[in-house]
Amino acid sequence: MSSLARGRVAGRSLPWRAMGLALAASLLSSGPAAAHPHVFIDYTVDVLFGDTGVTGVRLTWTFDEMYSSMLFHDYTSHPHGPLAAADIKSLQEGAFKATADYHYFVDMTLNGNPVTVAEVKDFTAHFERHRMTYAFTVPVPDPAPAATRNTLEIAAFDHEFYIDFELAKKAAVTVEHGEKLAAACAPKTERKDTSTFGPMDALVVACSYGRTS
Amino acid sequence: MTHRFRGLLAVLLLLLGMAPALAADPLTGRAAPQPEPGTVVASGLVLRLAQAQRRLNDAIAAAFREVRDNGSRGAIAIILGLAFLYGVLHAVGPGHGKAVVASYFVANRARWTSGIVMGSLISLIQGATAVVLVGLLAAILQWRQFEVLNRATLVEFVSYALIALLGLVMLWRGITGQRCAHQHGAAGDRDHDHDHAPPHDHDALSSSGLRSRLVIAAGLTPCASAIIILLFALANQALLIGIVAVAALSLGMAITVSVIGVASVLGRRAIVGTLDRIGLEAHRFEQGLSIAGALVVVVASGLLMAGAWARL
Repeated sequence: MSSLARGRVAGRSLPWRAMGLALAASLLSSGPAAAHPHVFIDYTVDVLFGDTGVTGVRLTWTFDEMYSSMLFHDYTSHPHGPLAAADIKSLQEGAFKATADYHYFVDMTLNGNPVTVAEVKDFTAHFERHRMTYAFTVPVPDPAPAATRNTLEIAAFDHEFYIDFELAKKAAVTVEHGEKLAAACAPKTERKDTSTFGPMDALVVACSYGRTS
Repeated sequence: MTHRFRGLLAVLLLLLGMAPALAADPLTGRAAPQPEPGTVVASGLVLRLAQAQRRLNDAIAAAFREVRDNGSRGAIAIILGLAFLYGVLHAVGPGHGKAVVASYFVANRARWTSGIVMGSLISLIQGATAVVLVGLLAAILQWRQFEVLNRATLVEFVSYALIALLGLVMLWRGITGQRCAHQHGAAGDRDHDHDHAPPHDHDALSSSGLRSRLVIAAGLTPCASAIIILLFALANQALLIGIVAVAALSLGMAITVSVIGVASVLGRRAIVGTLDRIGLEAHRFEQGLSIAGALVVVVASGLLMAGAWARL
């Protein structure tokens, strides 16, 4: 946007320059130079491998303290202490399930093709040190398993940027049973589009794996 | 005619400027072509602001616990300072009445102090809306916390709809040239040294009447962050401290929104002044500005309405 404005202004008379300034001021409100998260989540990614390819991805979301407090207040029955099975059920039914509308905020590609997440399994939650953590598994249907080299990219991302997902500082990326396929996963920066604020750089977890022989 | 043409050009340029924000296509994002220099800066800013807000959010929560567990007065002061900073940064994001303020002052002639007054009033009323909402629904009626937050989205939606309506009124006036009819009247009026006095009221549909309606409509939008802070305070039996924190948050937001207001007043003045100096009939061009400003109000509030609708 700003490069467009610059292009128009160059070589023009002063009114155009002034116009550009006014535009910049008014567009600040709707352009990409906007940060507006209300919920902050640290996430981790555990990539699960089978004999021939990826079988699933186990994700955890750890909420900021304020949002954690809201979840705890509304969906648990005990004022303190660990979550009971009923609390976890209540969180899953009352809160977590609704994120299905957003495909659980999972952005995933397998060999460059987007994989739409329709369902997840093995949901659990725990509340520790004032923070709520969800954990759940995204099954990955790996239709063409273990070619010579495959890439899986996965990230938690809210394209409306109402939620700011960030890879956790510690132990953000792990791999299960990856030896057989020489799997390696690491964060990398990728451009993501947000629905109203334009593109932004975000970390995604990129895995590379394949037949070793 | 050429001035009308210029006005039209200005409008087109404005819409072009908005295009990147509108043309966010999830299917093209994946290709990740070489980024434009402009977007890299914006993207970096987005992430830095988000990270700063993440830390502030954490620190405010920790300070609330400190107050609850140890009754620390120092922690109250810390909450206020952090909430103020949080407000300044948070209001850089979309919403919070900035589009309304900016477009109003691009479309209408005003003193720069009006930019501060309008920006501050919107932010403070927004804080008050959040306090009323949480006080009534959560503290008195004992609603669940998420019910309160979701109801806020409905209020937000109504607020954007009102703003869009007022934007249409602005647009209608811009097109029909109602705002300062006497300037466009007689041919003898066309001297370039005409007085740039502050706007004066003609009738009930006056500029200042529209302005206060816009302030109220934009002020109705409760900020989700203010509500979350209040709900957190309530859960920690510290609603009063939460209310003071939201006052500090609103003051912080007032600064950001006022800066936008003043910049828009001065931006408009620079445009009109320059046109005058180079001998163009500025008052003709002003109609273009009025239409452009009104269009931005309608488009921006429409976008925010859609966003609120998606969250309803």
